[in-house]
Amino acid sequence: MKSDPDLHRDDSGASPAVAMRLFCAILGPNAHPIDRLAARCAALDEAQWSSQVLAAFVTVPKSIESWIAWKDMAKSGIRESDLHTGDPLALAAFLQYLCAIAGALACDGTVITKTSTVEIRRALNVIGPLIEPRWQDIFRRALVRLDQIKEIGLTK
Amino acid sequence: MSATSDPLTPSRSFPETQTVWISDRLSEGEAGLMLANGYVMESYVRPLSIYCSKIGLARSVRIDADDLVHGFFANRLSNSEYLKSWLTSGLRLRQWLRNGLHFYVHELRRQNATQLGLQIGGQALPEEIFSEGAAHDHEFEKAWALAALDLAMKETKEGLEKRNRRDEWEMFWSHHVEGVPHAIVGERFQLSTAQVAQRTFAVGAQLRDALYGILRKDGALGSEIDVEVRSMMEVLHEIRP
Repeated sequence: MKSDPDLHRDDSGASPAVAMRLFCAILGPNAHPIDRLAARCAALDEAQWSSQVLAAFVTVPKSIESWIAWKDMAKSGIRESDLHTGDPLALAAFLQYLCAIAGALACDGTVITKTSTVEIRRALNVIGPLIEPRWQDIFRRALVRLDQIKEIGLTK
Repeated sequence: MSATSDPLTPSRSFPETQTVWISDRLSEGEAGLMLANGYVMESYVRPLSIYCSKIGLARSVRIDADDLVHGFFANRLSNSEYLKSWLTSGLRLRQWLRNGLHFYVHELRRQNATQLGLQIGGQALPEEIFSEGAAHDHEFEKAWALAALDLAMKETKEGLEKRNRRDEWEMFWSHHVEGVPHAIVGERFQLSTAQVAQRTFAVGAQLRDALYGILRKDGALGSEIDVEVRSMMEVLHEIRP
């Protein structure tokens, strides 16, 4: 996309992704990693990026132990300073980390992170629609599980 | 490589400020009012016009969306009290203008009906008038987010061009939008990685200042700015290419 776009009159459909990247640049280190990741996933020219990153899950894990192993491996690749500058490798690891959390939730409803359910929900909602269909399905099932957890919590 | 404790955790916000630019202009008499009106028209015509098109507001009075919004501005901003009323409304300027636009359309409908000799029921309540657009809040907020960002980019680029530093915008764009590493951008512009990093950082700060100014003029307090920016990003997440 040219460097002097009219974000409203751009017909390529790239404007929202460009706008998100600009907002991330504006927020600098304060940009939320989820927004940085969304900007990366949403860019048209990066459509293959998330697929390549998720190809690391050669076979989708079937047990909680496997999802936890994936989460730990992904987390070891996330250096906070890199994540806050939008480093592609850190973002890739972050996407795998989110997928592991979603996978465990979708598997049997286990929450394998200390992150709040509000943050998990936002991450699933924002990133889910931007990735390939099989993972979209896992994210959708994870959201259903999160809703069930909330309902169980209310009945206690 | 050290692992982060919680990659999902957000961080700090913008500094506090309470300057309201339009309030200052309105205190300067006729010249200030003209400046304020000019700013309002330039900044809000696009999001309001897009909103009118999306929700069929212009169609309901058989007017082109741009013409409807220009008519609204001409009608309301000619009254020197209009923007003063906003200052005491407690609303963001964009919300105030959107509400005003709905009232204006309601008035046009009544006028049209009167001209056609039709009877229209009693005075509509403000809630009834606003409810027409309430379901489309999101569309308006999307249009506003893109418009504000467009304005901030324009201001930043103009500032750089005035100082013969347009190249720095290209460096910023290559790195932040196209994802090109600083080192590669440096090769293109014959600069070191550190020089490119410093220049792109400076442009990012200028873009942030420009957007910050636009949001402040819209009525956001300094403490609310980062919340505003995040909510602008939030509405854009809903847009799918």
